[in-house]
Amino acid sequence: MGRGMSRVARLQRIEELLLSTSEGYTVKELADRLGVHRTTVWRDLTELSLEAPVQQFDSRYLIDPKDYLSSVRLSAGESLMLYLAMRRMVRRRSHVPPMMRLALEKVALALRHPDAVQLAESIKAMQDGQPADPERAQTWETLVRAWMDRITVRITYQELLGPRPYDYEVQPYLFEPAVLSEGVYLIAHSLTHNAMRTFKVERIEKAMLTSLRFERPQDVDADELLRQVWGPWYRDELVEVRLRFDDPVVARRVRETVWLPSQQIQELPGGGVEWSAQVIDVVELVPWIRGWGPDCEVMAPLGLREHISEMERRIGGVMMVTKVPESPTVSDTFLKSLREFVDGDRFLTCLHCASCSGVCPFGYLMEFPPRRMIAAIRADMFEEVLKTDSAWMCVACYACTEVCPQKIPIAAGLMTRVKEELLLTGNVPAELQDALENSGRYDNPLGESPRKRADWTKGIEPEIPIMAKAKRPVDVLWFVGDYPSYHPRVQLVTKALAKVFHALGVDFGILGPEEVTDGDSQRMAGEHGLFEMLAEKNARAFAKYDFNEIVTTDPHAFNSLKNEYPALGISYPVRHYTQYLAERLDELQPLLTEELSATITFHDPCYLGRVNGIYEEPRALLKAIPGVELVEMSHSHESSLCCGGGGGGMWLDGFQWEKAHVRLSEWRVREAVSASGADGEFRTALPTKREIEKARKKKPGQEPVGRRDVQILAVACPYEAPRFEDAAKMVEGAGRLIVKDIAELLAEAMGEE
Amino acid sequence: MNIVVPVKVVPDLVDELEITGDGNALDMTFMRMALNESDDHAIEQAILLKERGEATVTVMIPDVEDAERILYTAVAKGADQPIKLTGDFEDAVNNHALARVFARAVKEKELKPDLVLTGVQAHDDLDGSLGPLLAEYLEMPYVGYVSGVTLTDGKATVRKEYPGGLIAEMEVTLPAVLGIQAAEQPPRYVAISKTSQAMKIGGIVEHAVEELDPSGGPTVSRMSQPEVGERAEMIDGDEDKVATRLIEIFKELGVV
Amino acid sequence: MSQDIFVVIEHLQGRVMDISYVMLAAARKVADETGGDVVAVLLGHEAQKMASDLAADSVLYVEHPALSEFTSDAYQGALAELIKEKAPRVVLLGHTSVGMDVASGLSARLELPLVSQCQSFRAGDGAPKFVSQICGGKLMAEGDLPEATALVTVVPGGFKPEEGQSATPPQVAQELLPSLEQLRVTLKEYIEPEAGDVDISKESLLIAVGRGIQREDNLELAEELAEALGGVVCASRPVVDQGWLPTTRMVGKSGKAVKPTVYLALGISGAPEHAEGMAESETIIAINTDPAAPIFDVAKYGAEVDVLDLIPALTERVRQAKGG
Repeated sequence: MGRGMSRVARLQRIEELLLSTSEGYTVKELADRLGVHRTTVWRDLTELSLEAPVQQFDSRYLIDPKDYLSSVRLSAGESLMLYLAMRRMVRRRSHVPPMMRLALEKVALALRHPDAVQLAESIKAMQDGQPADPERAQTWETLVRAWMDRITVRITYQELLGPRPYDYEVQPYLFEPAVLSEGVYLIAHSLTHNAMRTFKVERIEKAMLTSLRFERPQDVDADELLRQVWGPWYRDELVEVRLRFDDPVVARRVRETVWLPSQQIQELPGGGVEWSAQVIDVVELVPWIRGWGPDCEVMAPLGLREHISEMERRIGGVMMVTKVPESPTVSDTFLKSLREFVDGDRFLTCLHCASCSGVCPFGYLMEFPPRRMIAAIRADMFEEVLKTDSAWMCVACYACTEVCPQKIPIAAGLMTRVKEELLLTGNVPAELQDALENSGRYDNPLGESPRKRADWTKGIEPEIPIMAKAKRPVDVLWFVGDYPSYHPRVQLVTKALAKVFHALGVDFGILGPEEVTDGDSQRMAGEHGLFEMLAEKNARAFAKYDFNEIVTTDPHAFNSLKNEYPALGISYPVRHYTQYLAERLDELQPLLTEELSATITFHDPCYLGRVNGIYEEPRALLKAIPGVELVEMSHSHESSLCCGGGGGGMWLDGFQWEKAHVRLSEWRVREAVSASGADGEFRTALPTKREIEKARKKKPGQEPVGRRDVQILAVACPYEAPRFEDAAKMVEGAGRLIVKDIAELLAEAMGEE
Repeated sequence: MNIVVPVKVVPDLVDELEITGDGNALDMTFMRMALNESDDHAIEQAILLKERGEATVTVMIPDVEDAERILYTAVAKGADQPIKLTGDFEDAVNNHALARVFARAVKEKELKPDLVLTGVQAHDDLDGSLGPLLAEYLEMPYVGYVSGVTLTDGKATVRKEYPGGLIAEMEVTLPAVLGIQAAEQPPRYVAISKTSQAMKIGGIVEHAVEELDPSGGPTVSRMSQPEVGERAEMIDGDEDKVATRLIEIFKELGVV
Repeated sequence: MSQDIFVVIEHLQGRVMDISYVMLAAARKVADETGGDVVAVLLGHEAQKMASDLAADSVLYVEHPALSEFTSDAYQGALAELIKEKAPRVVLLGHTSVGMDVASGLSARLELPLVSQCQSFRAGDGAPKFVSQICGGKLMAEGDLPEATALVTVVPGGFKPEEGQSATPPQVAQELLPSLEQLRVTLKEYIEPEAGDVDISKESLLIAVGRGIQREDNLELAEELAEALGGVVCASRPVVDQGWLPTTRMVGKSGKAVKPTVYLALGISGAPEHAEGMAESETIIAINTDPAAPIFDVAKYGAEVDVLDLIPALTERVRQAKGG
């Protein structure tokens, strides 16, 4: 029994015994049990306590099973593998946390090799040579605990390229060692970013458990998580990195090792090599690349090339030193706030390609067009941006966001935040100030009396139901909007839409004086506080009534209610009226009895098209009108030109005119004219049948007068009818262009004048 | 340097004005009130003076609807001390009553102003303007229609506006009351978030006032609305007929 | 206590302001009811000659170097003394930068009732009634003129200045005053307005052009009409945007707000952004070929003819009427 047992077996037996008791065994009892001498047991216990949590009470010994995770039975070979893996991990580390060292020691001892004890002692010595870092050790402990017990943890984390550490709340999912650098990555769901993130544990300065537990979702894929180990943030596509090593000696070293599994080596004439690989994130490669020094030339990507050469230049090719400023600068604080935005970290990935500045309609007039703004922030020069009024030239048309290769949220994130900063210092053009103050005081930017918001309904038959009076549930809550309620030109659109709804038998109601401005343009002009205040007012009104969905006249209201209100806890199904009607096209079509012989071109509103991807429904409605020929302008769909009304542009007209001496609406009108072939004197109404007849008689034998003689610019946003009509009066040759909202055209096609 | 800015609210003309059943006063039930526009300029001028040199700005307002928001907006712009006068301000009070309570508050709270800035007029003033009344009760000199203020030790140099663009530069010994027509720059914008922040921090000091004494103001026996304008009277005919008729109209108007 | 109506004469830089004459006309109306005299109160330094065309029964002239130009402290001091001594029935002051500086102060100092923004007076049963316009002209307030001595500030518009002028100079009685001491307000200097482009907000007759003018060349027609009428040309935004007129001539939300006696809107649609700047004008005459143009909602008179036809026709007739 005892004597014949190998030491390994004996140690295992002792371990089992100690685990199974709750009172513990004395050395004598163990010795008796195992049939060995007490001294042997002594030595065994000493050894065992290095690898198992042996507890001693008086002279009794036991192991509490709760104290350690598992006992893994390893063969000698297996133990060796484990030992080698750990040695590798520990070798290049600047700081070896106690848990790592202890694990290594235990594995070393588990080898039961005579040299093992020596190895264990050398490991101990390694630790003695290092300064104690209890905080780091504690961080490791906390993270492991959080991972094991599924507790949300608050970490203070220093990004590789960040100027200083920030706090995040994360749910740890997985640990993974880094490949090219020493280090371990924590892959976690970050509550702060509301996305998966990787954090290099070595750069986690502090970790604190919170009181929140979490459940890891079932559908999280371990492979997916591991993919993210390659970089600090998650990306959609792979980037090709190409490096050139000209020196044949260096090239040989490069060839010898597989640095990345996906790498490809290409021989160059002269003995050098070109090394390329597809990576998710490039930044992780930087230390490795720098390690090659001047021997390595970065060929691609361009951003990396610039980054490396910039670093070389700054530090003269010697070891990189990150400058950490003493206290956050204006740029720091601003960048932090940008990164808190959804996808905000993408601002760090800007390639400075300047596509945004190029496509921006007023970019050429800004002292700091979008690209330059981002560069200024990174160069710690954000104050300079705030000294200019560049941001007030932005009309929030989203062309920049559309065209950005890194999908940086430029319009919604950067420009809006810059406008907010300007607002906070009181720097806001007078017209916009009025609109914002009016919005706050009168619930609409026009400064009209809120009580008169439903005055447009007077005299309309059948009566338009106002929810407070009707006191019944409706199918559709029609969110009318400011300009549609108050502006004389746009009221015509509203009345037309009412007619269409009535003809279709839509069961709808309006809020009337209880409705306040949707606030989207005010939000995009930088007044987030105002937006929230207004949203809350609308929310109170919505909550009072019973309806199935909201339909808006205005794409801005649609955008607001759909995409921004939910973040404030206000969530209702909402559609733009073109979507609503397009869905009911089969019921609508038979009602469109009047032929409108006209060439129509449709202007995609920015907030329907680019921002929300709705392009086909408005066109479907137009095509349904008999007699209509739909043509596209040279910029259409995603590339549509903005009318200039968004982002506060509606109230920056004077300001922008002073700088530009051109209106975006006029550019668009010119396109409409050339697309539809309009020219001649100005009209506001479609030609009557008699006029068409007369024209027909004038040109006998030719194409019957009709389409080519009537040119219409169709719109679907309340800002546009007045803006484009004004522009049409100013653009030479645009006299015959008629501007009509789709609702108006539908009403006319129904025979409702 | 202590600057005190007493402000008041006036009927907001965006909505229709309604007369009470008695026919002699404004119906305040649904009346929307707004900060008197020239008082807004007074606040702005005070903040500008503070930004130029050391000064504390105190803003005082009677306890009416929206008083707190008005005070916190001023704080967000840079005012130091918001004071709300509590008492019965339900019925429309006149400037004599207000001036008396403001003067008492200034004395009782020992504000010791070097400068009192207030709007030069309000559109509902029926008993003169607030500033000169306050000046008398505080025994200070008064200059009104001021659109520019420069402070030098013990004195203020002000730009007083006259018709036709004429300006008179006057020197006033301090302490003094100035009736502000326009601040040197239009009242600045304050982001809602800043006002909300000021509200969260709080800090309004309340000061109770006694009964209001409106003596000195007139008694209104009848209030009415002038006839609402109708649509234009259209002149028919061609350009000659129209031109002829226009000459007649010009003559009536004394233009020709 | 007398039944006299005192009128505080306002003068600047040696010139009697129009409001003084308006008040004299108003005073006459009140005096007719009370049975008292109209007494003009003239404060100044060597300023007797300014009394020559005042339509008053008599003039009280107060002489003092400190009163040569208006300052609130000096004038209020002098008037306080005078009113206390003479105790008139009513004192009229201008609702102006001059009158308003002292009216309320006098009310507080002498504990006298004050009515302001008074446009006219009505005969009442027993006592005259004041008629004031407040709230931007949206409200009329009437009431009995308070018991003596009532202070009243008068706005223009109720009476014509000519009614307060007289061909025969009135009698002037000089009053002596105790010295005005410890004046806390002194006048340093006058600053004349900059010569430059016209300030349309101060003009009483405006000829406004809009898109209907069609081309820059046609502006000349409008200028001729303006010259003939003695008015000034202004414009709506699109005309200014084209660069045909400077921004100082722009009327509207992004331009100036104007309140002339006559606003002739030629070829202007009257969109809210423009109407905001001119709707307060006393008489608006609108010419526009579009009968649905919103300008007709704010105008008093309108016609649907083409402005390019109308302007020459009108200019000719104006020249004739003015004695050409």
